[in-house]
Amino acid sequence: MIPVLELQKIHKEFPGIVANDQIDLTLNRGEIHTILGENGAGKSTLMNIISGLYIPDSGSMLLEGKPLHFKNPAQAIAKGVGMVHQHFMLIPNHSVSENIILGTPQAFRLQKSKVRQQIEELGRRYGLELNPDLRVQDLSVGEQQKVEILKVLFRGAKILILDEPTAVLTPQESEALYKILHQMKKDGHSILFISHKMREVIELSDRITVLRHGKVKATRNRGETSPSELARLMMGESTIQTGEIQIKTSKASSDQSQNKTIVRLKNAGLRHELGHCLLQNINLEVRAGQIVGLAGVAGSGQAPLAEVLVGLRGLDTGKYQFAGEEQKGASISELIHKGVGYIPEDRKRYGIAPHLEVAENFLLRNLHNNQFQSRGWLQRDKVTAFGRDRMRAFDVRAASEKTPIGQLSGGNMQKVILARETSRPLKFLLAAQPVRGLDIHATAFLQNQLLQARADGLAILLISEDLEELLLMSDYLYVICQGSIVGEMPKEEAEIEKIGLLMTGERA
Amino acid sequence: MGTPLLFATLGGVLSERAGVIHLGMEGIMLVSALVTFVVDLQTGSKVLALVGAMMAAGALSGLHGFVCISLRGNQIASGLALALFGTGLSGLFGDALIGSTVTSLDRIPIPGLELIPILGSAFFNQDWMVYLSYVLVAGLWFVLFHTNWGLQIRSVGEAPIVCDALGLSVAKIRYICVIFGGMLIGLGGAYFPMVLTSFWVDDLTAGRGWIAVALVIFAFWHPGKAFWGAYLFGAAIAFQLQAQVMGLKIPSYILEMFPYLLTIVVLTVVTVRNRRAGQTFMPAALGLPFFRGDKH
Repeated sequence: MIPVLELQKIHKEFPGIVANDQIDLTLNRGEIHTILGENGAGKSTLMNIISGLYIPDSGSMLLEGKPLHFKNPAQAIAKGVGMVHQHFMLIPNHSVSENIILGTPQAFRLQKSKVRQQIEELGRRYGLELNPDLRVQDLSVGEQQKVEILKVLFRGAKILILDEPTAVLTPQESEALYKILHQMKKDGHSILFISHKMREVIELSDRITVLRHGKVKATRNRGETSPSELARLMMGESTIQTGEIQIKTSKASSDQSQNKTIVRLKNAGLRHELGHCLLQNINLEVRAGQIVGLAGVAGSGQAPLAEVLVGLRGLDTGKYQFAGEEQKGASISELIHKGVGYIPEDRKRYGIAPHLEVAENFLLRNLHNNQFQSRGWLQRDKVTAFGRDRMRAFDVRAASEKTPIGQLSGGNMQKVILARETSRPLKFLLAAQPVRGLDIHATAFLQNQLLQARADGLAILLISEDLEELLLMSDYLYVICQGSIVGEMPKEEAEIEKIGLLMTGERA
Repeated sequence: MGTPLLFATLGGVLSERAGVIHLGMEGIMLVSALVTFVVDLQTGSKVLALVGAMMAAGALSGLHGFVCISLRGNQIASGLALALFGTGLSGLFGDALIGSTVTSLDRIPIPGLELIPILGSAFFNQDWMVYLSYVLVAGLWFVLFHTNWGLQIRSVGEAPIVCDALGLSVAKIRYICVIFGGMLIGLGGAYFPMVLTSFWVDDLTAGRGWIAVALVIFAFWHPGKAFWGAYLFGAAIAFQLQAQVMGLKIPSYILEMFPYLLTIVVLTVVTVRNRRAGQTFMPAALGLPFFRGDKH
């Protein structure tokens, strides 16, 4: 049987790096083929080549046995290759149907009822039912992903590329997606699936191809591999012992209920300036030497809660006590002074100044620190020395401490932020999505650092959408949904399914 | 009085729906008024005069498009420069025209409709450019909200990155909208010598281009609302002129401020009301140059 898609010796270089090195890959009809690899392994580049966004330097692509070159995404779409992007490519202000038909050939005057019918029919066939007239901005993340998939199917795609589709979904939504993928597969579609999540990769895939440093390391059939083998292939045996990437498990060192409470919210409430409720009646406690996890679907109120805790916003109702003292109003500088550290969710926007040097970025939290100035003049040599020292301690890999931090990879950027936050006397650290998008090495490093800080007596609130991460790291868990805490439990009583249900607003 | 505002506002709506702010309206209106006047004077043909005005307006807007779309320059700066440039240009060449006169378009009553009490004579006993503006309101509304083109135009103004990934040419769509929108603005400028004043005076449009800039926002980027907005402001200007003629004992400076005061009041009210409702009508990518995401 001729594969629907065959890549032969695909090669792509960017200045300074070989992103794809002589890649061979085949995709059969009705197959789910997973591409597994760390960040920077070349997965995204490869997918962008297949979907026409990048043009390879050399190598060839065969579609149903015929050689072919896409110069742009439109050509790929026309040949039935569609990509579901990780960051949704949707127009929030437009309706579902407008999003789906955009860019497709349509009659000059839009046939709205005909389009609606087509969309509903597709939806019924694949379990992607949606009201085509709703605006995308009113949909949940899971529903928005359905729109993305519908968009690709509507264009008649036979080959679907899904880039980490479950990264933003709840466990229940992920289950629904697996069903949809199976239905598409049964219908003769071929699927290229990109994921980090070992469990789903093994359950879902017919074949798995592992990429490492831009090269194909191996391809394995369903049932012929194990998580540990895949992990070894992804990370390479020579550079790493499996022990190193396993983080120290978080066993409570002593009875934490005796520890001092650092952060306490009592009946906390916050309203949006337009009037609707952001946070409602929140009661939450974080003790010294404890990692408290906050689980929830994106946009459930984590961001406003974080803003309150670091002092960006003042509460409208209720109380915020920090180390026993009540905080009135919003004052970031006061809380920084009292020992609050913050790893913001959007690290590139709120965590760093991208054009400043790495060393300069270390200073952003202590601008008033006299250590680096003399009579108002900045002591450049001290700044550089401090930067170099911190970079070594946190294993930050950059050309030098004078490199603009924006040029660093996400993992190294995050290490700089963590190093900066923890390099001063700290009582409480708020870590929002600290390892999102990082590769396994950086993830393990950061998680170990957080656990070390906890052992040293730091109170940590960990906000994450990844339940496995939360269960691994936390001593105690809260679940947030629509601005309210809908459940709380010690780690021992936490189960993924139960939390997943709570996250979606259903009582377990 | 509302007609030139309406043309200009429609042009602004089209351009801004595609994501390009058009602040240069005053300059474009003045230049196209000048071209209309000159061509009319030389050839005596109203149609040629109008074609000339639209070409001049289209060319100037194309320049704005080049700066904003191809060079990815600052749209505000480019628009302001265009407004000042157009004002200066019309002053420079208009100087020689002072003293000449052109004829105005005749009124063509529409049988039947003109007999409707009050509204009939106001809306249906007008020159053909007024009727053209009605057609354009309906046409632009239909194109924007009921055709595939319109969907593409609105999408480019909301999320150019999405359009690019779907294979649409963001630059092409934006150029078409900016240039065609500019031509509509040019019609607004042409209306002055065609109908409103038969002789040339310096600064003929007297700031209407700036009111149109505000009207685009006031109309929520919607052609239908632009219609009502333009006539509301047209009425305000007419009132001010009438009041001066009637010799009301209000200083003329205050009367002249009236339409602009109304602009500020309306914009404030509309903005506050929108924020209360938690809704924005502004195209999400308005004013933002489009770069294709360069990864690596």
